[in-house]
Amino acid sequence: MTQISAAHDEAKVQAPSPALPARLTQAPTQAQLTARSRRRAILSVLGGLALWEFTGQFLVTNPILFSPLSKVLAVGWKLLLSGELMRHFGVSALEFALGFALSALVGVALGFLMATSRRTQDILDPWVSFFYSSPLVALMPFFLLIFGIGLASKVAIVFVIAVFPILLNAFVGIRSADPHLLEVAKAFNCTSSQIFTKILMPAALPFVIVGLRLGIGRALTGVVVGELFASRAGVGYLITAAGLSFDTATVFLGVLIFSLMGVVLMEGLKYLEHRLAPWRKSVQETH
Amino acid sequence: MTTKLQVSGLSKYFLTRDGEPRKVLDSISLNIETNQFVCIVGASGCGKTTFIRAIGGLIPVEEGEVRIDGQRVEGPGGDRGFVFQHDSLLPWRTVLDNVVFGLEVRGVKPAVSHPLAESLLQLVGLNGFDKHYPSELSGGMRQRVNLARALAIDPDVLLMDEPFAALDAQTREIMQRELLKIWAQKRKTVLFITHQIDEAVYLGDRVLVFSSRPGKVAADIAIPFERPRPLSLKRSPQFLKIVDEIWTLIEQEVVASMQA
Repeated sequence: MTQISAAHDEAKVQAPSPALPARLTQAPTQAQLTARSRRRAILSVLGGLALWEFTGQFLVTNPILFSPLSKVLAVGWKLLLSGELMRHFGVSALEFALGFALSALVGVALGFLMATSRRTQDILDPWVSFFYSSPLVALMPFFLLIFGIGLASKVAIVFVIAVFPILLNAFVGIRSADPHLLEVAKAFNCTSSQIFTKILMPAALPFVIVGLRLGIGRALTGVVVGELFASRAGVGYLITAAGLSFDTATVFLGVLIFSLMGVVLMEGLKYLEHRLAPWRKSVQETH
Repeated sequence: MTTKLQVSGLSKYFLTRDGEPRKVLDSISLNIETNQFVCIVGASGCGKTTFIRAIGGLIPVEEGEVRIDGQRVEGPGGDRGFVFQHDSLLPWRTVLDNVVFGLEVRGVKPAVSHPLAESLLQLVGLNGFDKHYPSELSGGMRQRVNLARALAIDPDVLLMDEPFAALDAQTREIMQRELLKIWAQKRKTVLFITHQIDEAVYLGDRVLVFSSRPGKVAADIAIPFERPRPLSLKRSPQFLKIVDEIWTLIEQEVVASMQA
């Protein structure tokens, strides 16, 4: 159907009828609008980077107060060659991966359980509301006491702050399944496990993805907080150590690495959503 | 003629907000013959949707029973196929996967169900759309898929709950004609709920008029027109006369339900 309307638009542009008013014949096509948006976005990013470089080179030249992009990249290249960068990145990535995977598994499972069992919901609900609204990063000193300065305390903080948005969204996803569709399942004599796998789970999927997106942001924050607090390695450690020795370029490099991690993970999740929920893509395309 | 669907003494109560039971269906009894097309009309709130949901086994009833081929039915079953009023296709499934849904939950293999679904899509005039998602279809096309999905389990009785209510007037007329064409090929016993009197008279062998509070059968009208029925039948004097008779029967109730 998209093809039909695209061909239709093309025909309009190629053979404009003289009787049509200009606002129709000169209107940009969807493809042109998309290309224009993309050009603007790229220009905006390039402009921002140029401003960063300019500021560092000419406006704030004190290396403690600011650092231009070129210097940050040079420091990054040096650390990359020495192998130090990959070591720190590897530590942070592992903390993130373990903590986030754990929070995704536990969050989705508990969210589904709460949504399908009234008793579990009644018991867990006050705790979930309490922890969801608490600033759980404050638990970091406690985790350091319990799990030590290494990997375990970081995984714990990442898990604790990422799990609740994932849990809540999984719960809401199941609960917001269209009752009409549940009635269809009933009319076709579905067993309760079929209702779960064929109706509730696909209905909850978009919500679960939203929960995971929130979870990624929080898990990254967890990694940073954990490493800033006390650590011997990791990108957060790199930032702290550099900050203590007034090495602003390396501080910026660390922040940039965390930001890029976030961007890449969000894009990865977007790709996953397109693969897992193609019907939602087709909704966006047709409307 | 043999009796396909037998309803005897069917009563249904709902609890009001104060916890008081209120009778919504009052001991309904009727027999529907095999391959008969029966329409039910009535003012909104007359319990016609409750009635068809009870026949479909979607809600329990307090009194009476439903028999199909003499066998008492409890709960939903493969002998009845339901076509819903609202948009009830699964949005995450393609057209083809929606049509095979009922077969899939019974464990029918795709090798069997897919060719069957393809032929049903052809029957409802949707061949070539099997890979589309419901969101890419118009309302009329979605209801064709809805019908194909109900037919896929090859039920004895087709239960249709205002399937064309959400469609625009022109699409509805086309769908009515199409439905009769499909019914002529598939030969099912049909129970069709509608609030549109002309739709009921055009489609049905029989029109049951429901009255409200509590719902019961106020009139059982045989429709004499021969089949196939052209859409132009709707403008014939005899057709309009039957529509007018039914309208007179329910007019007071419609007015009352608007005031309620």
